[in-house]
Amino acid sequence: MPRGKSRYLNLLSAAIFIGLEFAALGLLSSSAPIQNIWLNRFSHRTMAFLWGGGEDLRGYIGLARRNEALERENEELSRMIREYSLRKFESEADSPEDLHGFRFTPATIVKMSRNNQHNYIILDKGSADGVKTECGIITANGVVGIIDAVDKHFSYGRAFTNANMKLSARIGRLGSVGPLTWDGISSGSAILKELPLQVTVHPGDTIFTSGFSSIFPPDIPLGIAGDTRVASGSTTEVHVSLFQDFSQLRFVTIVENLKLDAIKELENKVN
Amino acid sequence: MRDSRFFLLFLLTVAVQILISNFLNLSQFVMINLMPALILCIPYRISSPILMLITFIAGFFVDLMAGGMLGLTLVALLPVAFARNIMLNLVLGSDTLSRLDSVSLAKHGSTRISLVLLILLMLFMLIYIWTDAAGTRPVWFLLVKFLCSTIVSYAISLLLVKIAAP
Repeated sequence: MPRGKSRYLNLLSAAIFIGLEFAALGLLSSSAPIQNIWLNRFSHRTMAFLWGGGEDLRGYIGLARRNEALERENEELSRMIREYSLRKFESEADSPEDLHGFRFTPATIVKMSRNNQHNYIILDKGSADGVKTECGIITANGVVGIIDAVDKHFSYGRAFTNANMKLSARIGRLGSVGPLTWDGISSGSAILKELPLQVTVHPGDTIFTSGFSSIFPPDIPLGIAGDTRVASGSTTEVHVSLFQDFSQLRFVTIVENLKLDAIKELENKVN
Repeated sequence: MRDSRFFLLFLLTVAVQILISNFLNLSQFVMINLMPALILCIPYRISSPILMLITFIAGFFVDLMAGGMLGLTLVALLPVAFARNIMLNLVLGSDTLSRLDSVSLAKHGSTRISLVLLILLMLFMLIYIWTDAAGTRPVWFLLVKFLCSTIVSYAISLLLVKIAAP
């Protein structure tokens, strides 16, 4: 028998078999109540397995989109928490965009370098969105960088994982203050420098922004203190494990100090 | 002549099967069924779709006359008809099968034919007993019934094959 004809016959046989088997099951189902229940249960289980599998697959495919939505929601909630916590200290604040002298603008990272000593970050918000140079970039987990240049719709900044970046940090909410810089080795580690020798730092202490810089608001948690060592015989350095995972960054908040111009003007007058 | 002989034998076997189903209830653990052997003996030159239709009609008739559950024999017998050519192909080989007119114990060897018969019978018994119980009997009962029914039916079916496909 020719191969094509044989294949056609096999397919026809299979189709007839399936059709007749279903007919037989239908007959059985209508003539025997127990078999009817059993077949229905079997059918429901099969359908549940198939549809459940399909649902799992669809859920898996949609994970990226759901993750993105959750990250946005998380960022929004973090922003609200920041606003409420700042409102405690600034009773005269009456607008969520003008709290403690800072304005917060959510943004998405367009590009970010991670494997250089001078890492940079590009955000999708620019001067059209009110972003200026010397704005800070933060998340709920810490400081991400500082805006250096602004285009109409984009802004360019130094990442915290940049050798030229340092920020003022404090041990605990009331402890000593020193500059915090990236250690240049791991994206999750930094060094808090220039602390007086007499300062005692306990491993596990939380490090916050001090609020002494005119760029970042105070009390943003940055990381946890680790080992300490004496540097140059005169200061103490603390190894800090950062909260922020720079490899997972997508959404950030641009923070603008609304009193920055006034502070600069005052500094210029003194100088 | 040969076809008319087989046709008569086919009708006779169906009638015997109906009688067995109605009157020969040996035990809860033993069920005799000759239909898989009958399907095996249907001449190979009959195409698969026709074989399927013959099986459906025969199975339906047995179910109808046996007074049991309509469709139960059919549900188990149709897979046997579908698997028959596949099994023959596997056991006898496609070359033998291309020259095959009908199954014959003398031509193809009793061992190989009885092996195909055993496989088809086991397939039938598995589906029949499992569907008949519909989850209401323990597994050990189903296993014992499967083994006893297969052994008894196999012994009787071998006789049928010897007559229908000498």
